[in-house]
Amino acid sequence: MKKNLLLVVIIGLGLAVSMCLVGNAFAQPRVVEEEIVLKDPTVSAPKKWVVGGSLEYWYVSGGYDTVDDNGNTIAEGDIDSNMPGGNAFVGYGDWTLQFSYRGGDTDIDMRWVSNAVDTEEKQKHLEYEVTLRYLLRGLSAKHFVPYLLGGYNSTSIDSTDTIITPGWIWTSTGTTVEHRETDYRSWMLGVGAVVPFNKYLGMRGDLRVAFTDADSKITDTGASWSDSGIGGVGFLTGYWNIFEGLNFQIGGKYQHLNGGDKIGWYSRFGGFAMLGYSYKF
Amino acid sequence: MKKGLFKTACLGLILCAILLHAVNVCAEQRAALIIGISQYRDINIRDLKYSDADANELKSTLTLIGGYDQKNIILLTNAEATSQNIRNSFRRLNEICKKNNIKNVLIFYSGHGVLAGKGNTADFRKIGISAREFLAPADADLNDTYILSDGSQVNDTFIKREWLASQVAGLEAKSVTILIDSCHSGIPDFEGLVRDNMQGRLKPSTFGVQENLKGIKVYAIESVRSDTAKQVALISASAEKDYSMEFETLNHGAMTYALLTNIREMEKQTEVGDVIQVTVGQVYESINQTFYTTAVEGQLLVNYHKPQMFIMPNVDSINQIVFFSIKGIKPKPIPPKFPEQVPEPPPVVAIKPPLEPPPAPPVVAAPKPPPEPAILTGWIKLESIPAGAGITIDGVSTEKRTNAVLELPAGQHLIVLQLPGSAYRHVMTVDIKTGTQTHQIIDLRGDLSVHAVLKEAPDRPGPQIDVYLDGQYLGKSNLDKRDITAGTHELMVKYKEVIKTKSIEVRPLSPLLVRYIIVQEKAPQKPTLQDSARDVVF
Repeated sequence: MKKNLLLVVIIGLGLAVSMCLVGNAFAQPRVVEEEIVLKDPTVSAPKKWVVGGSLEYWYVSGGYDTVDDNGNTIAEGDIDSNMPGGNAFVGYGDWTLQFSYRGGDTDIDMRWVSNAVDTEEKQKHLEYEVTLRYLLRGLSAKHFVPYLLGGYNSTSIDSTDTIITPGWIWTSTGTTVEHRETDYRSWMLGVGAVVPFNKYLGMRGDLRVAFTDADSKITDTGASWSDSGIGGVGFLTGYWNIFEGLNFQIGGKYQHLNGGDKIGWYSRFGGFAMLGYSYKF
Repeated sequence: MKKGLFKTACLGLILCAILLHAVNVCAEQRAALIIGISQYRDINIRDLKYSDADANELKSTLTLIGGYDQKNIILLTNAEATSQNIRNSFRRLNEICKKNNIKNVLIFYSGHGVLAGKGNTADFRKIGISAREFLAPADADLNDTYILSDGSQVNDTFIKREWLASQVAGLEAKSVTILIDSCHSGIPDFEGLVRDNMQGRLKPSTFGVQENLKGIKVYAIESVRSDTAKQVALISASAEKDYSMEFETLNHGAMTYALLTNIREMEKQTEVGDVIQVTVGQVYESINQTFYTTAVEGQLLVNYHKPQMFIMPNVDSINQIVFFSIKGIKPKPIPPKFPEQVPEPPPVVAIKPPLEPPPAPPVVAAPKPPPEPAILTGWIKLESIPAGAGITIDGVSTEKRTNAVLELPAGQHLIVLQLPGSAYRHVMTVDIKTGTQTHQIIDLRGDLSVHAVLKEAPDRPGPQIDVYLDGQYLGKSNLDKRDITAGTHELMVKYKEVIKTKSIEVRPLSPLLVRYIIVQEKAPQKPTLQDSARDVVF
């Protein structure tokens, strides 16, 4: 009797377990999967990075006058300057860091007003510049994107100034030739704006104030001077985004290097062109 | 008198025995494989509203009315109807045929059909599947499609025409009737396919004699069948190129509606005690008649799609293949009975008055009409969760709704419960015992889970998405609801700016998990004029 009872209990337990298994089998859900594709610009803003470079050319040609501290013209002449250059840049978001190199020759022919002496000056320019640009998108409008600029510029000018009118010498050297090296080291701060007319065409302009420390030395004699002054650089160009990444600009560039009273200032204005390519990723 | 009664009783018993035997013989001679798929695994295959319930109802109808023995019917619905299970079921069907000496087999399929061919009108894909895909099992996978060297596309997750034909050819039965209530269900070359498979069967064998070879080679096509007398009928809901439909107003797939309606009507028109054999030709004719006389949304059914019949070996077979047998329920007319004439009193003749008055003529009372046979009934208490489901008994809609107690004649009945506004029908057979009450509690709810995961972390719960069912806010994922009324629902989810909507079929005992995989892609930024400033070098 007890054996039978045990058998019944075992069978009952077995049935219960099998029922549970069946129950679990039923509970297995039918799984249907579907994708939700979220096009989210915040997931990872594409093309934040930009790298590129550009070629530039600054050409100055025209009258060139020298004035004294009182603004009186003491010499009149012509200037002819060619300044090719190039730069490379890397950007992330609205920040762009640029390294530039420019080098060129400048010829200045002058006639000194007071004594009708003609001189011929040949200059070799070498310029290095590091600039950081920040696009102020928060202040931008549809057709106006301002930006801030800051940077450092080092400009060296080696000049050879020769008196071509016979019978005259430079008092600084006692000869008809004076060799002079002048270095301008400037911290720059500026503002600018890109004014897009449409996707392809627009204007760019910026103005940079240059806080300059300058050294000048007459290499023939070793005489040297140091001083500082505030100058500036300005651009105004029209641009054409030929296709995505390729940017062409043409316009004008004005440079005012101010070495202070001891060294003097030096200004040029000329045509400026730039062809740049940038790649975003 | 007593002897006569005894004789009559004996005769009645013998007749009953013969009738019961005949019915049993009829039942034993038929087998069926019934497949109905409303819920598909592939998200790209739309669920159907009525296919599973249609299959259930056909099974019950064939059992109760059509002379089929329940043990000879294989039913596969929804998740059970996988490709593998369908293949296994054909094997089981053949075993049933062999074991029980089955002569007539019915194969019924309700679900999606796909147009096999080179056209561009395949149901599920814009580009056609140029192999012979035909029926979609519950685990059909549209993505499991590959391209052959001739450019045609093949998907082996579908049931192919040739395979179906080979199974039909291989069944050990004299006649096979196939009913397919799906799109593109017509097979113009069906006879050829079946006949080809009846000529010979491929017999694979390992290649070569060396044991270490791994190759398999078919070395012989062995003719294993010469039963060219087999009769096969295919009734399809539509022509090969056409669609077939299901309608809310019919509560069925159109062809299954016509089939079930006609079976019930035949039962009603057949007198009690009669058993009629209904041929496949009669079934097809009655289905056609329904299509030509029943209108849905202002159009006759035949204007939506037209059933087709394909028959082999010849047209005479349509009147030889017995689809089912029906036991009638129509009461037999009772012949009018009149009271027997009271014998006229004997004529009065003038005779010499006897000494005693003559005896009064015997008064014969008019016979009483026979008592109505007592109807034996029982009760069923039907409860549903939720309550309020409409109750249909043996195809006749009652006014009652659950929860209710109904008095029914003893015997088996087909009961269908359906909640208002729900497409889901719960079909069941109940056996009512005289004088007793049966209690049935039917849960008309199903389980629905909605989960969301990130594609890059599928094993962890993903971000919460808003879930709506039929426009009502259900909650945030991941949610599990166990009280969703069975039927068709519109599931909508919202995640950020993305909204996804899909129709789902919820069924009791078939939990549904809808799993959303969130794929976060970089949005292509629309360049603005300000963006172009970045292109300007300085």
